[in-house]
Amino acid sequence: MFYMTCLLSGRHVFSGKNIVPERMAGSQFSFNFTKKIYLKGEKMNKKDILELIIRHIYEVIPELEGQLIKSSDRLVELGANSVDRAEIVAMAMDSLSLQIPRVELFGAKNIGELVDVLYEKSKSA
Amino acid sequence: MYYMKNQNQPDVFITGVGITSAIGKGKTDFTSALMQGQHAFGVMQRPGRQKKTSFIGAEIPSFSFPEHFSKRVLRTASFSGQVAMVTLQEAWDGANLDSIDPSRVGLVIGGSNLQQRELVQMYETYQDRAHLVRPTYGISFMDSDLCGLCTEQFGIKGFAYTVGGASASGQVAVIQAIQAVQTGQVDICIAMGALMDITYWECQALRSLGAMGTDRYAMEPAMACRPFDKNRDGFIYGESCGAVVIERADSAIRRQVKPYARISGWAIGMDGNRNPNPSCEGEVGVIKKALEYAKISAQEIDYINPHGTGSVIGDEIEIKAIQDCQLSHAYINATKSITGHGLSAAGTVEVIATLLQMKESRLHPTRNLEEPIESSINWVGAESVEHDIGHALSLSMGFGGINTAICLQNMK
Repeated sequence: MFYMTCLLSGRHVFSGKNIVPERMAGSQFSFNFTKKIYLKGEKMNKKDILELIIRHIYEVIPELEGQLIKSSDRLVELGANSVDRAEIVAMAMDSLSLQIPRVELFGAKNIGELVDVLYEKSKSA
Repeated sequence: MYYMKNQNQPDVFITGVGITSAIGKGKTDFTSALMQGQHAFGVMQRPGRQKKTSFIGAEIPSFSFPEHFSKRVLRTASFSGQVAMVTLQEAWDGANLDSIDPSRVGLVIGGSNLQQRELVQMYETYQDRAHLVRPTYGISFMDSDLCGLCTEQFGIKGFAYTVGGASASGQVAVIQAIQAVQTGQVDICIAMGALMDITYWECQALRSLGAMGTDRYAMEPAMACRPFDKNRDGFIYGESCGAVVIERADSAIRRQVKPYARISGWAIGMDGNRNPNPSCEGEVGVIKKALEYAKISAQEIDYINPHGTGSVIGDEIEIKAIQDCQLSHAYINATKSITGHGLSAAGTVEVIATLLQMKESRLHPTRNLEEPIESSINWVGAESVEHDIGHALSLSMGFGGINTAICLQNMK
């Protein structure tokens, strides 16, 4: 869990444009979500990766459902403990079919940065 | 044989019960189903229970959680874990434990390898992408996750651990909890017989072993579970979980809680045999030792809740042991004929069934006991019987030659 703690640590910035996701049906989330929208081999754009992560956050922490989540938010500050954070990252990797070691996701300081690193890794995958 | 050499131990009461089973959730529904002999046997439907098979069993219908249970915790809790939390809630409320110092409360969970179905489903889901396996599997694959879930939800701060004794696990947990309160480690200890969530793998192996019933009653599942009947051919699985609150008498009196019963004696004994076959000598040994501990004669026992699984050899040996102990006069029924065999849960669930019958002054019927294997036994047959239990004896046996017995005294 140590690297996960590092992953999402860092300063929080309460600014930037709010991205309001549609309210998703948390636990009803299907792992095939991305495949339904994207053709095989086609890479997801950052906006959709963010939306995907937010869906996973709602699934892992159902208490947050309906609450606004921004790319500048940090998972820790949303109330995600180390296990929750590991779950959210694993779900995102699963949804993006990423084959990379998790350690490569090291260093993201907030949800936006996690989106960036997932986007880069999925592009080069 | 394992028992207390010094039999002058502090008095111990049961002050709360919680039950979740295929025939009823909560003691009221459970009691009513027991008394009416209302079973829930059918071809099992839960994912992971069948693989081109049609194993018969009894499954818990969908259930709801109290509002205050955390949804994020429930999402990753196994089925066994969810049922454990719901069952403990009933026992906790019944014994009014909210006002107790949490550092004086312990929890013993009976059963091992409880979450097989969750594990098999996890392997099947991730077999081609093992690196993406859910991180929470690192917590949930351990049986002790049930301790974590329950102690977090109820704020238990004394101790919590799991104990395994195959199909006697539930009684082993009760016996551990008794000692924990008698020796003053804690004032109150909850014993749980946890739900053993088996898959087609366990069903198949248990059937191949000759322990679980065959396909003989595939077309009439209601007939399959028939302990002590001549046409039995093995046990039938039934999902269940039971929890009892075990408390030293001084604590119960101080708190002014009404006990269900006094636990007057117990014993555990091993046959020195790894295999599933029972031993009459081993069963007689624990019965005699438990009676001696309770300082009562065989004549004073007026109700026996047997292990009675419907196993071909097991039932026969158990009746022989009961006869050898001069207990043929006591009423006997078979709880498993209605609930099915809860494996790790059975020992606790059947202690609860005994307590509820004690409270109702009525003994539940035994289903499918059309031709009893022995006529000299005082069976409760197809109809329930009005009876005031004074002293009851509850028995459990498990693979690996484990025998347990518990004596319960009515406090009325």
